[in-house]
Amino acid sequence: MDYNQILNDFSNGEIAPENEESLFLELSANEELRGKFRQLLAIKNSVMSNSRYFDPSIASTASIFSTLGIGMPVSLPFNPIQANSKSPMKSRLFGKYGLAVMSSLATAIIVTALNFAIFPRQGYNPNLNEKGILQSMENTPRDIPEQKSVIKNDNSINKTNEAVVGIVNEELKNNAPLKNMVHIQTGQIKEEFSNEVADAKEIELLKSPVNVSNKLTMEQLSNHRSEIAQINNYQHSPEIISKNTVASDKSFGITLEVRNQTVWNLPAATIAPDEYAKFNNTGLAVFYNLSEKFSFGLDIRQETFFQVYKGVDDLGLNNIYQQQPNFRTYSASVRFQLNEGSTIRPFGQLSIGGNVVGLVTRAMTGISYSPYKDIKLLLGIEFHNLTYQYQKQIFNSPKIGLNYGIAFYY
Amino acid sequence: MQKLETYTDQGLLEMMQGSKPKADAAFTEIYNRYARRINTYCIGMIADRDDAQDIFQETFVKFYNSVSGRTHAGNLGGLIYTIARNLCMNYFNRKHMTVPFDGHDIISDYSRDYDKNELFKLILTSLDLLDDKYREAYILRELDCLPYQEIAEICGITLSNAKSRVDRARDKMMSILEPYVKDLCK
Repeated sequence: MDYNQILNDFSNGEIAPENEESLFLELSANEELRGKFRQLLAIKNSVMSNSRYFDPSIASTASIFSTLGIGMPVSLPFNPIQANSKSPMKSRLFGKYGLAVMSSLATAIIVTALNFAIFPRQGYNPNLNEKGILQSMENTPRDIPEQKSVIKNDNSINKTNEAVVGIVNEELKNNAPLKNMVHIQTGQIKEEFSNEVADAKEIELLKSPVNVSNKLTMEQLSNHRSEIAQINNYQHSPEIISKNTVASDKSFGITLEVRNQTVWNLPAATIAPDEYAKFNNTGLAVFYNLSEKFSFGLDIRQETFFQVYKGVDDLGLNNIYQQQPNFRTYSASVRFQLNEGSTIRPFGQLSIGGNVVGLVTRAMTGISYSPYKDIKLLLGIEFHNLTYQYQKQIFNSPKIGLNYGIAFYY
Repeated sequence: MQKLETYTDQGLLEMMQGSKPKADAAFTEIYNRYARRINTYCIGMIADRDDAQDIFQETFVKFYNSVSGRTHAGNLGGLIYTIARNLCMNYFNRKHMTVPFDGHDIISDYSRDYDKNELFKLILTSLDLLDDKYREAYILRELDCLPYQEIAEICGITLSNAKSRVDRARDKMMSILEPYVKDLCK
C-alpha cells in the first residue's frame, strides 16, 4: 500500500474510509511516515498562517480600478497590504495634504511675525498723536543723510515741499526776516529741482523749512501742524526714505522664480523610477523681498530622492530597500543677498519643507545676475537632504544639485 | 435592491452587461471574490513580485474588457484564472524563466531557528524550483485551495492528471523542504 499517496489523500480530505484506519496504524509504527506527516502539516500551517501575504496591495487595486475608470471600493473583504513591493514605505510623517497646509501655516506665522516685530509697518508711526506730532517735530534730527536721494528721485516730494513752505510763508506774513528766508528757500529749491543738482547746499536748503518751523510759535503752527507733521514725518522717516531710494531697483515686492537643476545623488543612484514625473527637477518659487538683503519665499518642486533604507518585511526578514520615487516637495526659504545695487549678487539660501514621506532641508549658495531691470538669472549649488522614517528608524537621502533659473520681479 | 454578495457569479456576469454603474458594481464584487486567489496564483507563479503584480492587474483589466457581450461564462473563476494563466505563460515565453528542479537546492543563509515566517519564505522560494506545471498545480491546490475539478478545467487537463500533478508537486516540495522542515518539526 502506498502510504504516501494515502497521506496525500488524507491531506486533501479525500481519504477513503477503508484506508483511514490503516494509515493511523502505520503512522503509529512508522517513524518516517510520521515525520513526513508532520512536515506536511507544517507546510500547510505555514501557508495558511501567512495567507495575508497574498492580499492584493492597495496600489494594485487602485491601479486596476483607475485603469477601468471605476471608483475605488470603500471596503474590501481582504485586508490589502498597505504598500506594494515597489514602495514598501508605510510610515509617513505627514498626510497627503497636511504638509502643504502646515507649510502655509508656518509661512503665514513667520511672515506676520517679521512684519510686526522686526519690520514696522510703513507710513504708520504710533507716536504721532496730537501731542506727539509737534513733539516729533521738536525732536526731529537735523542731519538727514538720505535726503539727497529723496530730492532727486521723487518729484511729488518736491511739490509737497514747495506747498509746505508756502503754507509756512502764509503764516509768517508779519514776520519779515523769516518771510524773506522762506522766499529764498522756495526759489532755491525750485531751481535745484529744475536743474536736478544735489550737493551739500541743497541738503541744507531742504532742511531749512524744518528750521523755520522750529522758530514758529506753537499757536502759529496749530492750524497746520498736521500738514507740517506729515511732510516732516515723510522727510525724516528712515524707512520711507529708504523705500524711495531703492524703489527704482524694485528690491521690494514679489519675485517669481522658475528653476531647474541637475542632480547627483549621494550615494549614486542604482535604481531609477519607472517613469519620471513631468517637470522633474523643476521648481517654482515665489519670494517676497523683506528688505534688499533678505527675502522669504515658498517653493514647490518636482523631484526624486534616491532612498536606501533597511526594514523587516511581513515575513520577518531583514531587507535593504532601494527606491527612487517621484516626490512633490513644498518648502519655505529664506535668502540672503549681498552687494545691494549690483547686477551680480552672491546669495545664500536655506529652505525647509517636506513631501509625503518626510522632511526636506536644503542649503544653497550661488550668484544672481540681473541683465535687465525686471529679470534675474540664477546659478547655484544646492545641497538637499530628505529625512524620513521607516519602522521607527530615521534615514537620510542627500543629494547635490546644480541650480539654474530665471526670476521675474513684480 | 438585492445585496451584491448574494449574487451568483452568473448573476454578476449578467449584471456586467447592463449600465456602467451596474457593471462597475458587479465587477467590484467579482474582484472582491477573486482578487486574493488570483494574486496568490500570480505571486506563486512568478517569482518577481513586481512582475506578478503587473500580471495580476492586467488579468482583471483584461477580464473586464473581455466580458462585454458574454452572458454565460460557465465558471467565472475559471475564466479569470485562465486569463491569469495565459498571461503568466506569455510572461514565461518572454522571460524563459523555467528552472529545472533536478540538481537545484535552496541556498539559504538563515539560521536553523526557523519560525513560521521563514518557513513560508522557503516555501515560496521552493515554488520557483518546480516545473511550471507542477508549480501551477501546487499553487491552485495548496495556496488557492481549489477543487481538483476546477484545477483540471483551468489547466486544461483531466481530473486524474490534475490529482497526479498536485501529488507530484507536493512530493517535490516535500523533498526540497525536507532538510529544513525536519528541524522545524523536531
